[in-house]
Amino acid sequence: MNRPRTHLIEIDADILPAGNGAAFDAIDAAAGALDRGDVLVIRTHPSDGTKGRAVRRASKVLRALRQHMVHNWSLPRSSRVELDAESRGVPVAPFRSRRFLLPHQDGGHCSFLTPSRLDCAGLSPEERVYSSTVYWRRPSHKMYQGFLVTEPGNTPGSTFYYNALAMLDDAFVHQQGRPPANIEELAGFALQNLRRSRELQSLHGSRYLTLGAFLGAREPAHHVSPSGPRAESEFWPAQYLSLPNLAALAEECPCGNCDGPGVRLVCHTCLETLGLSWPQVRARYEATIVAARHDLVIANNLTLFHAADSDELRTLVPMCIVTSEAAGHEYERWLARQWRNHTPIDETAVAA
Amino acid sequence: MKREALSRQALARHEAGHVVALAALGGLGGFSWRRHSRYELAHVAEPQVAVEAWDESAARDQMIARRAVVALAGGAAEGHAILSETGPTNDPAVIHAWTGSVDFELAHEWLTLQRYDGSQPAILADIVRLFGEVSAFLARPTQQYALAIVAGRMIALLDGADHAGQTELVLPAAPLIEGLVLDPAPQFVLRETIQAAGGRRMT
Repeated sequence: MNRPRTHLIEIDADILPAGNGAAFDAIDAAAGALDRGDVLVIRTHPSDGTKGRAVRRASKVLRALRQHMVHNWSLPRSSRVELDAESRGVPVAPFRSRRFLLPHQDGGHCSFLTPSRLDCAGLSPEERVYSSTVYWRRPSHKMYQGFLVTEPGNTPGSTFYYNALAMLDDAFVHQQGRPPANIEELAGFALQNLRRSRELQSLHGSRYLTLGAFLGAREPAHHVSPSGPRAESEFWPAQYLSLPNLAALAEECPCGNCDGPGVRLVCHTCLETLGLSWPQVRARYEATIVAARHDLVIANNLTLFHAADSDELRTLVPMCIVTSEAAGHEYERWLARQWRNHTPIDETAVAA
Repeated sequence: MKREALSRQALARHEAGHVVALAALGGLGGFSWRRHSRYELAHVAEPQVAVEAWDESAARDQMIARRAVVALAGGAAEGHAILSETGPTNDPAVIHAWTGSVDFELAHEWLTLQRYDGSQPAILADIVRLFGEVSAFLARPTQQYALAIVAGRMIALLDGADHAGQTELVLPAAPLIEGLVLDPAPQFVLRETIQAAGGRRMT
């Protein structure tokens, strides 16, 4: 349960949409895997090496996948496929040719895991927006984040995934000394952590909910990220001045092996919230995807954090399943289901 | 921003560069200082980003160039004595050594925001050129006089904090440069990053 499962699914886009047959089976398998919290690499056929056709095929597959999930897996009807412009390379830190993107959620100013109101009635849908100013790049709530690789770069990049609910459950145990009794208690912990981070926002000034904030870090420095958020990047001067402990945390890390201010802070974050160093977190939770040119990679953006090691020449076309409003009965029902699919809590065992 | 373990003079000279650049470019925020166990840390803040400035490409480019110049100005001021003997540098690593990693990455980040992509040669070329331009501006006698006065006032302020047992100061930066006259600042512009993008800008 700790590590998300990964799948390579091959789909013949030319025979979509299809009511049955091989394409239907592939879409059905992909939808089921996504609903379980797995990570998908979708390879579309026929492959002729043309970028424009690869984009069209991938978006066709994603639209079919979304439709199938609406009909069979309770994905809200308000969801839609959102394509963004192709990136023009990977922003790297000075004097670097690669970057390690620290664990995050895409569109994290308004796309992060919150409890379903069916489990946590006190949550207001407005709490699902952490910040609404100067965000990258769209205001939509990203339920599934995906990307089509249009150029892998000199050395193909790796994307890493971490089960947010498994980490949240372990953070609860580490901080409370016992496991949560049920989903509702774990949901309450997530909401308390979100509210704490919001209360500290005037101090840390962060516009994105960080891994540390999600996992219940008390130290305000764990509520900020370096630019990117890259492992090797520095923090902004104002962050150093407003957060007295940040300088020491970014200088040395608990394991002594993390290379860069950003990842050294995350190493401390992991120790405070989970009792593990960053390398130990990677060893315990991480699943890895290496995608080839014209592969579509997609996974749940709320129940999974993702990280990435990429060459500066890698380019992508972001392709996501989003909604404009993270609220309403269909959304709450879908979200409650995601919590149950991805959390390690065995409610049957607890009840027994 | 500068972290300095040994020389308060170097810290003050560096931060005076930020003060003079910001004052010349028309926007000065606060001055912050904190003593840590192994070093002291100081920063002169810029005014907050006006959100509306992001909505218009030309204004955004102008603001990004200005922010990059301000970030580089501390290193330009601190390195003036050495660089005026060795001559202008085209080496980003030398500039990085004078600015420090935080200010250098801040300038780099502002230039990355220009397009949000990975054209490292263009970003570094803009940094080298802007560092040369702000160094030349700060090297003029009017600015050199101002840098010396501002650094002296800053040292007096920090020495006073030491004597009072304070470990932290947050003050308006304007009094540090009060009564001093500066030359008009040249127009700092983005060039290489815009050329590399073929005129495209982040939308």
